[in-house]
Amino acid sequence: MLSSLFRIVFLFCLLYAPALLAQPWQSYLPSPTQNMDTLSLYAKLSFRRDLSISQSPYDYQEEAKEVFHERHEQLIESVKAGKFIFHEDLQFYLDSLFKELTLVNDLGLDPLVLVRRSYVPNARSMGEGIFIINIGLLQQIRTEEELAYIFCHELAHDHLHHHAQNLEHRHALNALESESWRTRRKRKKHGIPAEEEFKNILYRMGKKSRTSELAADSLALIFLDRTPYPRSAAQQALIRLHGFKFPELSGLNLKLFFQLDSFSFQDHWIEEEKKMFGGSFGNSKDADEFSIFNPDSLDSHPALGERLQSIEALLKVGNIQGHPIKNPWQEVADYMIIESFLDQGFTVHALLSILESLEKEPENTYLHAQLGQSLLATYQAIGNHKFNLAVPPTNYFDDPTATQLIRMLRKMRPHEIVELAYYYLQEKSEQFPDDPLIRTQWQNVKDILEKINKKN
Amino acid sequence: MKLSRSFSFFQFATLLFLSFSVVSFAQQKSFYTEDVQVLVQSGPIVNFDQIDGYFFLYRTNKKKGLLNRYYELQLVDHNLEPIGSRTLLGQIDLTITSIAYNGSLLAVELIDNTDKIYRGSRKQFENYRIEIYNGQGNEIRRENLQYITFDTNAKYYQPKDIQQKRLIATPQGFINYSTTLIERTATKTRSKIMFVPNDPGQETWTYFTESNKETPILAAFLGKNDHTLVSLEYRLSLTIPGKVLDFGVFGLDLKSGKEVFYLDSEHITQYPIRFRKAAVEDDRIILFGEYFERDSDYSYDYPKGLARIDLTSKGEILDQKYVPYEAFLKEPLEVDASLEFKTISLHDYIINNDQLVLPMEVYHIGKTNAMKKHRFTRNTCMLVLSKDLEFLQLDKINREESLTFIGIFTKHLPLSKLSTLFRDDENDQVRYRFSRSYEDGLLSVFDLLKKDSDEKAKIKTYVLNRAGSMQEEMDLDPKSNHFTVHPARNDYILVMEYYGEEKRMDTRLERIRIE
Repeated sequence: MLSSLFRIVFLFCLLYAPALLAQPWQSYLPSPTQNMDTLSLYAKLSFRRDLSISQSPYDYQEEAKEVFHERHEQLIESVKAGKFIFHEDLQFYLDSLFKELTLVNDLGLDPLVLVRRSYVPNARSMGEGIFIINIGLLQQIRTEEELAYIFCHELAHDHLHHHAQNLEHRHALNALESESWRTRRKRKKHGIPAEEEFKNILYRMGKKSRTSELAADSLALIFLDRTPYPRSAAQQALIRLHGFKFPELSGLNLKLFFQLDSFSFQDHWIEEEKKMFGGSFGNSKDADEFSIFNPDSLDSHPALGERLQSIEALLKVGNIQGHPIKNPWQEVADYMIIESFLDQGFTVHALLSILESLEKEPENTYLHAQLGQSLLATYQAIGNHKFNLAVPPTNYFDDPTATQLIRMLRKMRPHEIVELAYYYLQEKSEQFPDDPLIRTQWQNVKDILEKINKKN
Repeated sequence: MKLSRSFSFFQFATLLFLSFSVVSFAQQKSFYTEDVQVLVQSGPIVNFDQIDGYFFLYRTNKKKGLLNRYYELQLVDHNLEPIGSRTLLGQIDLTITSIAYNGSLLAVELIDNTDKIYRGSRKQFENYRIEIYNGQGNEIRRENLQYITFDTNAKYYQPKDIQQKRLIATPQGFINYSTTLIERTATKTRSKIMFVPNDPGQETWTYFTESNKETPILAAFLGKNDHTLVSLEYRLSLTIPGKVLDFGVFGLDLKSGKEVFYLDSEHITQYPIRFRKAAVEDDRIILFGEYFERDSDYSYDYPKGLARIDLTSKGEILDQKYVPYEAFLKEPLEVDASLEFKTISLHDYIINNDQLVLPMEVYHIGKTNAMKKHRFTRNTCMLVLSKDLEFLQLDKINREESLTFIGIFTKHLPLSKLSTLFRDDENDQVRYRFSRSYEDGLLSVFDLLKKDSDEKAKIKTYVLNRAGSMQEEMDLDPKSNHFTVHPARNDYILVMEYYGEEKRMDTRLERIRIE
């Protein structure tokens, strides 16, 4: 009897041992970027496009056609280009949360949620129930209640038809553009130059955008009140978004991090090179105006500071206490962002993301393996003529460590990049001898390094 | 994308492109205003042999009318990070002809095309000037120059195959080569080499080549070290356009501008040599060039081969070596057996580590079955030699091009005519752009324009290092309308692509595979 019980326990252990030993990377598999039922998705998007056009004000019908067709095309192109993630469980989670918020508030809406592979913590209402959630938002937001508030905010935008405001602005701009030289002259005569009018339109657009954000915040709080989530979620979510910064590597010393036993780090890789005139000539204050490169736009939503103040005032009433539930997708979102960066060839972005995560989880073997992969991808980008995409210009990020990393990858000889990947993975495979992912990655790099050495 | 296959047409297209390329910032800055900012010129800023940055010259048309134009010179460093800008006021039609940075100052040689002082029937020359700027963007010195562009006697003053590096940076100042008239009404023309020191209080020196009543005697830069400047001296023929005679070499002391030596290649060396490059070392000057048959009309005829002359620092000949071109080409270049070697056109002379690398075009000629027809072939190659002119390797860059000409005299076509005929042909074109030495190798860049305009234009790179040579092609964006490529540091090149529809310029540093 005892022996049979022992056998059962042994068998049980044997069966579940791999699951118990599983590292985080094993529980994470890259998400598909193509929807299984693409045709159905396209049909849904087309239907919503036509609905948006038909429901637009009569005066702006032309603009509506222009705007919604353009937007539809862009969406389809993005789906085809693999810019969205179609992860079954994640989709189910987001759909359920959206549906719950819609039902509780009786909005009569069938939300269509798309998850975009962008690290910027942002969400967008496209009108007629189409919502785009950036994966960066899931990474940045820590609790479900904060997520619920953000979704309420987007539902409020949809409910208030804010997307239709674009039509009004487009209409105003079109009207200005189509006006003849004669009219412009006439305006000039009366002291209202055309450019002034253009500035006025831009100003009105900015003002309206801020106003609509504040309106959406107020309504989102009303929506949130009808749910079990507390009002305080609004403030926390906005603080989280307001404090977003990528990358955040203030404490990292690149030299110490990459100083390996078998690989000597060279100081000149991260040293700033001597610039012409010490980096300043003539009107150098204008330098930003003719900057050739524009870093990624990190604007999630305008006027976040103003919104925070307004939310603080609104928080004085209503349920502000709650029991926060952890956002279950935060960790996976981390991995999804790294995978997305690597898929799109942004290897420096991937490296920065990995270094950020490694500061929190230095024992995470998935991150170590991906670091080796990112370095290898940087080397391969040279041969594929994608190096410029993989390693952006040195002034791309504000973070000094990120600048050093870019400088380092730009100065390192191609074979040195592969050697760094090789020795890094070698050291990590000694540290984590049972990790198959690190070992496989190390083998890949080893093969490539052997080929390079053979050539030279 | 429509790209010209003809060199001259390409130049025209490039000009058009530069003239109409309204860059994206213009849109950002002045949407719906009447000011239009146009990028008219761009290029690398060289500190002798090192790329220290790039300049972009923008023209802003404030209102209608020439007088309301102004120019802005914008500088970026070698990583394309902005350094600063300076407005150049009072300019109407400005062109930068040469630009150099010497570690502390920036020298710009420029011309205002509307400011030609004299346009006579026999000579045409223009007013150039060198403006020297400090780090604050202030002009600290200005030197006026003349540069003669046309002469009825000598046709063109600057034969295309003699490279003119007009502004050379030294840590103490800048050296400039220009041409000048001895006196306003005289027909005598000569070259002027001028040293402009960093310190405005310090005196400048000038050196004039000897004058000759009939033919102009001109000078061009060959090489330098910290003490000596070595230049080529040549004379233009009065009877045959583009014909160059009498190749001399002279050395100047960099501090005083005094002549250290003069070597008359016409009379002293074994063959007449057209010198192209000088490697100036402390105790020795090595001169490389092409040699000609002595008793023939050598400038009209084709060069016979390569020459190396070693001089002491005082200009005495230590050694001279001559190798005919056929010696390098017999084995490695697989051409039709019926064809015989015609000539070589050299694009550049690059001294890379202990090697001499020559980007060149090799021409062969053969008779066809039809009467009075000649078939010419052209191969674009990279010839690698040791510094002692020993053959190391020959790499073909593009597939052989072939052309057939009718006429009794086609066999004797001069080189300049021959290259023009190939240039105007409808074949795919490979065009040499530049070469740069990097840490342990050499990077040469060509552009590849396809016959079928729907095909993408490409940039072709040739890398030579210890591991051997490697060629790669890089596709350009088919959506871009025009492109240009500039040298950059190490294994990078600067690529600029212009998108007409979006009125946007994409400027980026591309890294080239070298291993």
